[in-house]
Amino acid sequence: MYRDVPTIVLLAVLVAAGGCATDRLHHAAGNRGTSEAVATEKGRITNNGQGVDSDSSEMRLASHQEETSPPHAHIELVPPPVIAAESPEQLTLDDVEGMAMASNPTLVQATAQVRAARAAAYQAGLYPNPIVGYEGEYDSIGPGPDETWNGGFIAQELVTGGKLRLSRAKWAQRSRIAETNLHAQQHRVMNDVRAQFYRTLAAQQLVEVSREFLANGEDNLQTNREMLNLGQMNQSGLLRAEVDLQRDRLALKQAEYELDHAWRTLTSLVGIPELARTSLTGSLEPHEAPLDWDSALHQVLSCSPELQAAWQKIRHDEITIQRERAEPIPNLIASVTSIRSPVADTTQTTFNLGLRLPVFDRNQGTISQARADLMQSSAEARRLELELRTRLATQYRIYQTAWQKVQDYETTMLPKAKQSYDLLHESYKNRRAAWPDVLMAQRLYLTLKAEQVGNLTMYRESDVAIRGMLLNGGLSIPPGPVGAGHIDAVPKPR
Amino acid sequence: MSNYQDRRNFLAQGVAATAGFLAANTVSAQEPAGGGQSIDAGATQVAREGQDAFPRTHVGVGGPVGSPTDRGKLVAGLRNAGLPPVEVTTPDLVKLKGEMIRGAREFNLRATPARRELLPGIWMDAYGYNDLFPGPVLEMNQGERVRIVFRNDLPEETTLHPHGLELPVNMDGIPAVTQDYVQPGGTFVYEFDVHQEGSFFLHPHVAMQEAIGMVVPFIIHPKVAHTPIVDRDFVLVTQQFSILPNATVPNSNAMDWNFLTINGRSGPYTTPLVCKLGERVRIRFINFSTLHQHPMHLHGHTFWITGTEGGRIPDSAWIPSNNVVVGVAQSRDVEFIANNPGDWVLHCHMFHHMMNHMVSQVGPIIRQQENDHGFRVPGYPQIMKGMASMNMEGMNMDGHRQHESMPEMTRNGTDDYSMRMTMEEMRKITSRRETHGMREGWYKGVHGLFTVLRVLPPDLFDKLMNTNEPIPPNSSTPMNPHRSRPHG
Repeated sequence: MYRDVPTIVLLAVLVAAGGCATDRLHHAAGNRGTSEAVATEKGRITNNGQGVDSDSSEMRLASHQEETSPPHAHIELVPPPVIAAESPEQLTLDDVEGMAMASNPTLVQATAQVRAARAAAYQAGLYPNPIVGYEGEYDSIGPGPDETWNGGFIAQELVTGGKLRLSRAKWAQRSRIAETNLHAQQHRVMNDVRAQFYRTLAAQQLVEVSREFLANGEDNLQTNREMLNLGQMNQSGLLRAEVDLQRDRLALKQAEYELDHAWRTLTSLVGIPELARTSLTGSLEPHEAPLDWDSALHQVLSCSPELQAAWQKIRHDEITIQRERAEPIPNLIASVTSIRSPVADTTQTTFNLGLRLPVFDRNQGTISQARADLMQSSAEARRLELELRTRLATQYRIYQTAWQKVQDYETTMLPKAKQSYDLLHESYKNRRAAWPDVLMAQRLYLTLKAEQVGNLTMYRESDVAIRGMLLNGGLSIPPGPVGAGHIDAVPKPR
Repeated sequence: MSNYQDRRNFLAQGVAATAGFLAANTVSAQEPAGGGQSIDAGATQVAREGQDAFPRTHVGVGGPVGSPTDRGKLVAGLRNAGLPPVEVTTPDLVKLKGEMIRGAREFNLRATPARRELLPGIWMDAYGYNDLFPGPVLEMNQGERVRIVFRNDLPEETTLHPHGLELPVNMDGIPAVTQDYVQPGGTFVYEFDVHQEGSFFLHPHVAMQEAIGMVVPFIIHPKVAHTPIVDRDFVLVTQQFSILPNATVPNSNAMDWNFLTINGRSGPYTTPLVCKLGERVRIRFINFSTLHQHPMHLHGHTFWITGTEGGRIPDSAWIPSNNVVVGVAQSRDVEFIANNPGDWVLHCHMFHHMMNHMVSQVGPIIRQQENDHGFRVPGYPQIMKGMASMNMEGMNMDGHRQHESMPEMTRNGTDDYSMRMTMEEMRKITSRRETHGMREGWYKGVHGLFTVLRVLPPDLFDKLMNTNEPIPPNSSTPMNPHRSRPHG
């Protein structure tokens, strides 16, 4: 019995430890499944670093004995639902944002990457399985009766140096990067959808302005006919008026085609290309206080998911170095073998304990590679910061120009052009101004209106870009947690 | 209360004596004063000795061609002979008679910016004198010494040129040639003897200041009134300006125009000339336009051209006409017996001068009628659309409102492009006493360089000009000549 006790105790400990961990993970899995669904269905960008669920703080301390995301065998990643081709009479920005968060496939992809990283982290921290087997021995000793020994053995590799904890920490860090990437992808989708919503809204307004241009051109042609009848115009002038009118007709067609294009792009970004055509309702005019460079830069540098992912990547590579440094620490391989001979009515128990001597391979190459990866990550964070500054500088220049134009057009140019048109119109009613001059004043006003739509579009695009931390690509494949060239572990992540 | 009203009230209160009127420095009434003469109303039907060949109260040719009564040529007015010349009447203008100081008739003139309402609601910012535009009219007598204390209150230099007067060269007001500019805030005294008589005018000798309208009619009466004596002596100054819509400053550099004025107003805001049937009337035309002559045409009468900017023409050289061409910077005096009763238009016969603010009417104004077949006719429409549809039923002829709201003036009663005039603007046109009793809607036919000569029977004249009694519309010119006949 003495020989049996250690074996039983060891098996009992291993089984008990594994079962506790499993129960807790299963419990967390249920919670995560719920919160993930909410995060997606709410259709809004989640807090930075909290892209999928709320237990990242637990992940931060993950080890092979701590909670981490289990594989979600019970949750299937299905394509986004196809919404019926009906749509409300008018769509607001909130409507399309909600649709995009529910239906844009890249968010599913980014979410899948988070799950994959979590699964890998879970896997990386799992303890090696014990080995059990049959042990038999047949003795034929001289003239004596042959003796057969039967029994079994159990072997267990005892992981040392905190390898599992480090592996799980490293992969948990990857899952954090994946979460940040999900957050970034949400921004990409929302930014693209918002910008496209405003482009579509602008295209709608330009169609209306183009219709006013056309009415102006039609009136101009009629006026020229009247002038011809009064000797105030000749055939050449009349022909020019007809050409101008045709130009207005083409401009309207072009505006309508632009609206078609804008709508199709919007529905693709939203993820529901079948969405029936409807009108958008909203405002292009700014309602927010203007951005200033310092606060915009501070916001981008402190909140950019890209930059946060880069910083997380540095931490990931630091953990990787620790992990690779732990790799040469030999694991212990323990085994217990117990055999019994009925002939001798004897049970023989053998204990073995061994390790791999790090004589030749101390993992020095991989450690060096991991250090290089850290160097690259650190440089990448700095590079990205500088690139963001450059991108922000470009966007901010566009933003400043657009803001100034929007303000000047809104407060000065458009009112004055309108007043000029109204004054001439009133003067015409009083027989003091000629109708062609009224039409010209109206055309100037319409031209400014069309230009203001362009200004507002430029303003909205740059505002969305800056407030959305310069992210776009709502239909691009979300990036993985780490780039190519990093140490990876297959089939057992480490 | 206007000067007209003042005077009318004065007369209405039964104060017959008007002695001392001559001493007034500023007058602007149409009742001439010229020595306290009285006009015998009964005499209007009485032919004077030797002149009975010319009908004084109805149309007729008078004596044979070349005779003194030929077309009323030498037929005298109703005033007594031997009286001083009758004072000039200056509709819509202020008149100054000056003051005798140290042996000279002294006037004070200041060159100033001035505002003028050419038409109700349409103002012009120009240069003028004594804050007036145009004018004021200066009136004096031949043989007097005149002193003009001139002050320049403009922000730029200027001079004052007595146009056509024979005077010492240093009084001619020509910059650099005869004097230095009068600087802003500066003063220059023009003083000279006046030995001429006639219709003259003063103006700066700075081209663009002339173009912006600075002119002062300078009327010199003869020592002894010309014969045949006239009962009324009107002064009319014609000008033209280019004013853009939504602007008030005339473009003095323009060589085109869109506003034509008589005494600083365009028809129908010009105040009619009112005279009594049978009177001999003189009209002095002074053309101070930038570019154009004005063939001034009087309806219903034949006048004699009796004077130019050079003074009186010998009667042997008078020309009968009903249309006198007044060139730029010229004056023409015409005289006639007002023997044809009614309201007679007096206007420039340049076609483009018979409308206001000269603008093409194409556009919604001429589209007020659906399926207008007129457009099949080349040249259609030539009439100013919407004018004929002006509906002023809500307004009395004296400018008082009958209803709280006046309907839009439109062919169909509802159209944004119908001709519109506010109640206040309409009141300005129709509330003037000189217009009362005219045919309803008369203002629809008076535009641009256009006014009206009203030849009224004595009783109607007295009622109109010397009382405040209401004068019903159509009193001087009937609405329907088949139903009623005008007075006289």
